[in-house]
Amino acid sequence: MIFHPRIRHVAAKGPAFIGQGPILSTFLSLSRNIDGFQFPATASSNILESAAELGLAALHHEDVRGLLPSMFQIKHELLTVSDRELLVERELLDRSHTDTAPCRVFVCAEDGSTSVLMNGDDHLWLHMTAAGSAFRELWDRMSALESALARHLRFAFHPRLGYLTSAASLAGTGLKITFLIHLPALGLSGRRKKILERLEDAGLTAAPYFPVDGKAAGNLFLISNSTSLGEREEDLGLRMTKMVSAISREEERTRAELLGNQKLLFLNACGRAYGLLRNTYLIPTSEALDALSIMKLGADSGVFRHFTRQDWAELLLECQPAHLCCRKNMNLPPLERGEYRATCFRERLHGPEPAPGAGEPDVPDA
Amino acid sequence: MMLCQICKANPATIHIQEIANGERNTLHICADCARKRNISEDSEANSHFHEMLERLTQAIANSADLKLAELFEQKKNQEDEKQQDLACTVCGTTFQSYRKTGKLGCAACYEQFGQLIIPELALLHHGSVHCGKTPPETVEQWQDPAVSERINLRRELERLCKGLDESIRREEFELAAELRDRISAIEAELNSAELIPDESAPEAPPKKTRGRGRRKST
Repeated sequence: MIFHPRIRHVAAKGPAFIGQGPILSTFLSLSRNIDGFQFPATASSNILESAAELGLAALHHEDVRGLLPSMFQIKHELLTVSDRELLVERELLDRSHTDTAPCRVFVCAEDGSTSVLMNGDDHLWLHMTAAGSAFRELWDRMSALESALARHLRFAFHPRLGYLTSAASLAGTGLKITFLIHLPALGLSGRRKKILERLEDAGLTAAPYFPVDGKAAGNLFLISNSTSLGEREEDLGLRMTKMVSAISREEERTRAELLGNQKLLFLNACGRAYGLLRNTYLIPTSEALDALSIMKLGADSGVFRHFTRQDWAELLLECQPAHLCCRKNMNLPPLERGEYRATCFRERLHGPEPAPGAGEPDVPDA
Repeated sequence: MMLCQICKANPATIHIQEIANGERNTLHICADCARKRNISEDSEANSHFHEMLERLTQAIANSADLKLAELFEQKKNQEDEKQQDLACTVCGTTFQSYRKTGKLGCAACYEQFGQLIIPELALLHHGSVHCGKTPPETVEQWQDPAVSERINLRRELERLCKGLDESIRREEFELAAELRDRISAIEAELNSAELIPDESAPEAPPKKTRGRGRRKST
């Protein structure tokens, strides 16, 4: 068994956190430490166990449970490497928390919208996801959960510096807001780099979602805040929402221009991407993501009749390594993953059947 | 009396000096020739004065900059030397390790490195004063008897473990044996009731075994 039954259950859910427009998702994470306990990196296992127990006792409190219906908890050490990778792909665990460390506990809502990690970088890491641009809705939920926990846990707090976190860059609110945004048209027009660089002046950072050789495979970017002190959570969220919405509008305007001025080239790119995914027999993740990105552009612009944005969101998740292994229920080396990924695309896009003899071992002549 | 170098008739009343590539050239002209060439005594004098002032200011600024830079460098080296020794008395995190990783070990680090960290945070962030959510006034954290008892036990365990190490170092073996027994008792108590249950998916009902069932060991 390479996947924990609970994680398999999470993997079977649809891509609820992936939306339809250029702004695909919003992620919120809040870091808190329990007062009087050293932060996880320097704490002894006794302190870590105490912190985890306190955190769990608070999470199981009646008024907190009401905010996290149907949650389950697993000791982090019982999760396999594949489980953790899958949780990263599902946006329920940060990549920096995939390593093995003592006394970590992973808590997750059954619907996959909320997760809590105890003893990651901080004692508590609360994380929520939603489709589209949804800061307000997520912050209301996050704030309610944090307030409920704060009634039972005394968090490390400094009157001037706010909530104290292990990373000084998160001190203050301890809040990290991230938007996942799809920007293929701005990439084709050559203006994307400048637009994203300008975000730095506003205290935001843009990073590739799937970095491959320094480039963003699939034209997907994460836009996050790099400051958390000196600004109210709501003000930061609304400021970021405005900026990300402006980029999204610019992307849509550029798409309309492309469709108007360079329709033939646009249709050609969509058709080639469709042809590649429908007929491939071996495809690596980055190439699949780039082709999927163009497919999404086509789906958004009404080029494809039978390929919906929902299909795209499902394929985006399914083509990632841990999801492929989970679907096959076995660890697959890269080459076999590429082959199985291609099979999934052909099945979904009604491509040709496997070539005769494909996948069968070579039998030497007698 | 010096005659104008242009008309060579009138007395020269305006003297223009130009220094180029280290060479000094002087032009002596009369007021009429100067007017014809749009040179006034005042403007020349002013431009020379301004030029001189500018050069002087630049020279002073350069030397001041150099001195300031030297002073700044000296001060920085002194600060760096001091910072190398700085360590949190609670968790042992050094200021050097914070510089490398950007991470602190406990809440006390913020107090102990405060003077060095707060100006940096002000530059890094939107401001230097928190203005978001604040914790509630009353917290019931310590009122859960089961949890707080276990936390107290763990704190006692930490204290005893340190004492054990110390007694072994001092070769006080009777005390060490006593501490060891107390540590074992606390560990047994803590292990008897684990408060972090692991919730795995409900297991499938056991399959019915065909045939005669479990073999008895002989």
